[in-house]
Amino acid sequence: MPRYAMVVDLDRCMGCRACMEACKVENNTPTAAFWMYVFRFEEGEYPNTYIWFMPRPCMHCDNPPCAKVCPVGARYKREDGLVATDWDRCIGCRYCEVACPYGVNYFNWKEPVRNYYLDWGERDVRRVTNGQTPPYRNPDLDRPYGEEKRRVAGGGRLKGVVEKCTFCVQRVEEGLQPACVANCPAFALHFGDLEDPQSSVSQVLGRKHSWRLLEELGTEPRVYYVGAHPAHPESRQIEEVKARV
Amino acid sequence: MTERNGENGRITRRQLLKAGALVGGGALLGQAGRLLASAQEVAQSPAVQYPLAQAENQLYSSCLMCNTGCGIKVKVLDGVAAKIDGNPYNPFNLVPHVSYKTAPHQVAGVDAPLCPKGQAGLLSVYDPYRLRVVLKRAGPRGSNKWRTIPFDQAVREIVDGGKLFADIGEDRHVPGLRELWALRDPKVAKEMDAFVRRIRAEKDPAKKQALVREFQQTFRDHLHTLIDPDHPDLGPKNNQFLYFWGRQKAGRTEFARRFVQESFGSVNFHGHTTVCQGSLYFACKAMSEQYEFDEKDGKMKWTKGRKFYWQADTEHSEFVVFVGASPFEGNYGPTNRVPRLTEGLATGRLKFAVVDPRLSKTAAKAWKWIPARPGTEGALALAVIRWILDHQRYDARYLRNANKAAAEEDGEPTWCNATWLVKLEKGRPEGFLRASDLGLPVQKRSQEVKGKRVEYEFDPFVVLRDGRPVPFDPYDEQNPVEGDLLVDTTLNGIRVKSGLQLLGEEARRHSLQEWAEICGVRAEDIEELAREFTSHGKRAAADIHRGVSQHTNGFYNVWAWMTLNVLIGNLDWKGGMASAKVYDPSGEKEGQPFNLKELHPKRTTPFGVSIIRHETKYEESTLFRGYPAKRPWYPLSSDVYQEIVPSIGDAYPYPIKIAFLYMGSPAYSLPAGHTTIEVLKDPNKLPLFVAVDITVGETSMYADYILPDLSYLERWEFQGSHPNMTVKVQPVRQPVIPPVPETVRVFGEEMPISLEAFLLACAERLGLPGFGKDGFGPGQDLRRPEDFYLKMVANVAAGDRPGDAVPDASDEEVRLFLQARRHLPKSVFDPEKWKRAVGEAWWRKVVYVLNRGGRFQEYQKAFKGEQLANQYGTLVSIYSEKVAKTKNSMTGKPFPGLPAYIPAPRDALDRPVEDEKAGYDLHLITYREVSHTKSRTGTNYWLLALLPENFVLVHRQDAERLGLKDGDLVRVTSASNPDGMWPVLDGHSKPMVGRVRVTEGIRPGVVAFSLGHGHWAYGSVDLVIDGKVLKGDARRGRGIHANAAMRVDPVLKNVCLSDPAGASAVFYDTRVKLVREAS
Repeated sequence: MPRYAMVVDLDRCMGCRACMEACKVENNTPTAAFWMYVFRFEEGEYPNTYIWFMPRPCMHCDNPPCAKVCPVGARYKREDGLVATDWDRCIGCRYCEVACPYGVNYFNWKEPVRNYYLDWGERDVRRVTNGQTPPYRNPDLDRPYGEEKRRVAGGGRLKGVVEKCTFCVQRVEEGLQPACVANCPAFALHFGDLEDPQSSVSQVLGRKHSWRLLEELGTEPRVYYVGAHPAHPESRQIEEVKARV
Repeated sequence: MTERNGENGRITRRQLLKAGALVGGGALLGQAGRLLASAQEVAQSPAVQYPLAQAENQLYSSCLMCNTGCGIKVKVLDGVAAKIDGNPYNPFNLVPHVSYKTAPHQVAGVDAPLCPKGQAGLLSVYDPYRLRVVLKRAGPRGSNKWRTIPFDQAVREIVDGGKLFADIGEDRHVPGLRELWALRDPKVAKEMDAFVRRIRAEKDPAKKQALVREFQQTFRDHLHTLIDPDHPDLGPKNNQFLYFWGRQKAGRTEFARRFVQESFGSVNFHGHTTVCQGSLYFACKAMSEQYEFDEKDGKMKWTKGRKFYWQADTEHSEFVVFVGASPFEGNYGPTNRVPRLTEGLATGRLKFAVVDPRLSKTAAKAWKWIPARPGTEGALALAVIRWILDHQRYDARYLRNANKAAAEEDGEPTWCNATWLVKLEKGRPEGFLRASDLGLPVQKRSQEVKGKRVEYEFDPFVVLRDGRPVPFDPYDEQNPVEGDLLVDTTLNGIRVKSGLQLLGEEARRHSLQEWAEICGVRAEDIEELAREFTSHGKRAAADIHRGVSQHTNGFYNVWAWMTLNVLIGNLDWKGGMASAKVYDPSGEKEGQPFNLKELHPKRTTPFGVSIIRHETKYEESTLFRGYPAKRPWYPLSSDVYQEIVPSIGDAYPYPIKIAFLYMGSPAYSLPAGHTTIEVLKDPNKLPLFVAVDITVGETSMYADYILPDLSYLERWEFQGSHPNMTVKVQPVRQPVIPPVPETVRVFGEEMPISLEAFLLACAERLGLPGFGKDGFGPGQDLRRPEDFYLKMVANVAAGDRPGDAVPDASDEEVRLFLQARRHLPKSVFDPEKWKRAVGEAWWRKVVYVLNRGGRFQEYQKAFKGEQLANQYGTLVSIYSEKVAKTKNSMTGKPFPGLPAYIPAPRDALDRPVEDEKAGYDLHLITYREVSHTKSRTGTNYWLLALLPENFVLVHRQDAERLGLKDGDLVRVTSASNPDGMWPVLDGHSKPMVGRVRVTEGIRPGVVAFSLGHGHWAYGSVDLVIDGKVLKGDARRGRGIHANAAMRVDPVLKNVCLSDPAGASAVFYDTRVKLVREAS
């Protein structure tokens, strides 16, 4: 069984937010939801000003506070390390959202639509697409995942469940990189198997000093950072994308 | 070669490691290898449950969400594009890219990177505000009232003219194309053109007048075809038809040029270069001029300057200074430049400096951020030049080479004219010293021109060698000539100096400290920058872009920075400066099957001065009446976008009667673009205005007719390359989804309404040669777009010399080709017609190219030893006598012939513009947010998700002074737009109001906004179509677009400030005020 992890190289990240867009397109996430988020920070005073960037997906913790508080067992840790949400079980109590120190959960307020940014059912839109419904049809991905055969991605998402980064389980199970990793023009994101010493995550972690977000909480994230440093009180978030409606 | 694994043709992990070897060596192998490895699990899984990873659902093409035009892999489900990723075959997406020999099945699971704009492209394509049918205005221009009309009616009206708007009460005759197609005989056109050349060349006014009379006599039967027989150099009435564009790539360029120039015979075919980085192109054009025999003029002259520029080979650089360029946000950057830079940072190979008043994303990773005052870029370059000369840190070995033989001796691919002697006339440097000036012999030469031997003279250039004058030929391959670098002497009574000497004198006009004060930076920073730049041999580069060129002094800023590259001799070296190389689709290379220019039964010669007066001297024109000219002439530039519409407004040098605008939005994109609206909405100034657009945009809203067009996922183009790409490429854009516009019938063929359908239909109705039956020649029809474009693909497949062709596609690849296009209707994909367009012999090669989204050289072939394989490879000029002998048409003063610092801004009469004295104390600049591209992305909902509205960046000190805080609304006003308004319509204006973001990351006194937001059309407002309201979506109009605040030229009054030499439209020299608005 692989042990999946992500490594974020902050020396390479240049804040373009391609990963945010890739996630959105791949997973058809609702408006104002960003399962992957890139912080942009500014520090210092002119002319000694610095800006830096920090991508933040779900941490897929080994000791996930969200799973602990889930009253129905919907949020669970898979053997390969992914923290998933079984949408057949989720009752939308949002305990996970409160328990997570990283703020990566999004409550699904509306019935799922094929795309959240346009009403593809509308006459004018259908006119443009010759009556068809782009873009990505998540219903294609509505199937059981993992050995436990639970619905954790794709069209099973319903109004009233909590959603978050799945490490693109639909791609990972097919041997592909998560969409954010595949699309990063700076090669700042690495994804792979910690058990495999040849994997890029093992290689990078072997070479560089790494740290994890809020390590002191004991959540044991599977997302590692190399380069730069965590945000501190002097870091001013800039160009914030309002992630909640 | 990779082995096949079973019947699905995919590859195993072991084989993938070998595939890794196929993509080439280098430090970056790991990244491509990682992506390739990610494909292997897919390859092995028996039943892929993820349909997007199947080759049959993938088509390769080229993005156009910005003009980088990266490769894309479009994943199609049920006939709809579902997701867009990067193309692993294309070096714009992956370093190193996958070997061209790899079969498409093998990379089906490899998604190469793409920037946020590229990924969001679907929502630009499937935009509910896209047009499917032709719109004709049903109210005054710009009223947003339209009616839908049949395509055939639009073509009939545009070709035939008439009282086209009588139904809305406009009782005026509108000229049609037929009326302007006055001169139809190519033979007469050619003769007139030759005669006009004689008239222009005549310097004596009386003799010039006599020649005009002789012209009138010679062509007395054809004078009615001219705009003005008293000024034959204006050309024929055909020139009163104008075609201009914003973004037009190869393919569509050749197609439209065939219509406008080669068949219809108008000279007015103009692009948008000067709104982007005109002075960058045209300064590099001046630097790349070659002294050669010119067939048309029958003598030697400076010619063949390339409209191009250099960028750094960041993959190998050890040090780069980026000036007014941000490859992490724009600059033809993501996704091709970023990995090359970030890899360099991560491995410690590279450090870079950034000169930019704003702390850009690139500056975020810089060794040194130098926030110089905007407009002083040239001063900074001269300061660095001064330090380099003072400390002799230049590459003297390189600079001494005066000719090709000398360069070859040193293994140098290029050489420069630093040592060539320049004559001083009354103290002013002008022409080069020639052998004849010293009484030395002139060479008699001859050349074959169309069967005739033409005799001409070559008067050698001269260098000083150990105090002795040595005449030489710059292209001599046998006799190496080196010159002394610093010369200031008198020879044969003539005062002469070397180019380097003159450069040094310009650089020493100020001390380093004075230069630093001009630029508003620390002298120590300049020194450190200069030392670093000269500490890495040829692996250092100065990489510049819009921030340097879009000033009134842009041309000289660019020249100064590019000269720094020459001083360290880094051209064509790894880590130095590179130039773009493409597989040529035109068919003009030996071994290519279809020369499209020659494949024309009746090609004509357009002639006459253009509406923008480009590449022509005012003094040579029959309009010359002393200085100033009515509007500026641009002898050193072309594609002067900002001059097109105002020149129509002033009918100078003649009125334009019909204009076609393709994929352009001058009203939105140009500085002071609002001035174009006044002209465009007036039918008396422009009687017929037709736009080809995918929606009702900021400029097409003023058109009489809008023809719906195909988006970048539905059409053909050849994206070409950019100078930072060291690999030779030709990405092909091809239809990957069914067309959105309606289907029509032209030349008996079904096709979607599009630019091509429109031009074909106009040609059909006019009976224009070069189109339809036998359009290419007997038995070769041009009825469909593919008849044209597939021939170009075949040329790309053939390569640039015999023996350079791609392999034939295998049976399996042909099957995949058809299968992956199963969703395309016959109106765009009919395999039999496609095959017929290129013939059996080329068909499988065409399939091979299209299956990979273009043609891409193998990674390893891009380098040879320490040099780049795709070279510039010739003379480069730090001094130009051609420029020195060219005059500013407004002042009559000659331009400097070498890099110089000219303070900005200046108006058309070369007087300083000093709005700061009137209280406009903030300096306005613009920038690119990586997720937006000028006018066409600000309405993409996925991109708006990342940035719903842009900001006005204000330094904390300025914010405190003005009492502004984050989120406050401010209006941007300037001396030429004191109300801060876009005058969109009579009685309707859009205020330039945006939200403040206070930052420490900008030079105090400078304010900035990012381009792409603040629309007033493009689906952001209501339209009335056929009497019904189509509601606009306010989300599409949020944010600020402050171009209308940019300075209107105080002399010309209907255009922005411009660089008189390089023609750049000026973005960065306006002073503004920020006025707080009620929230």
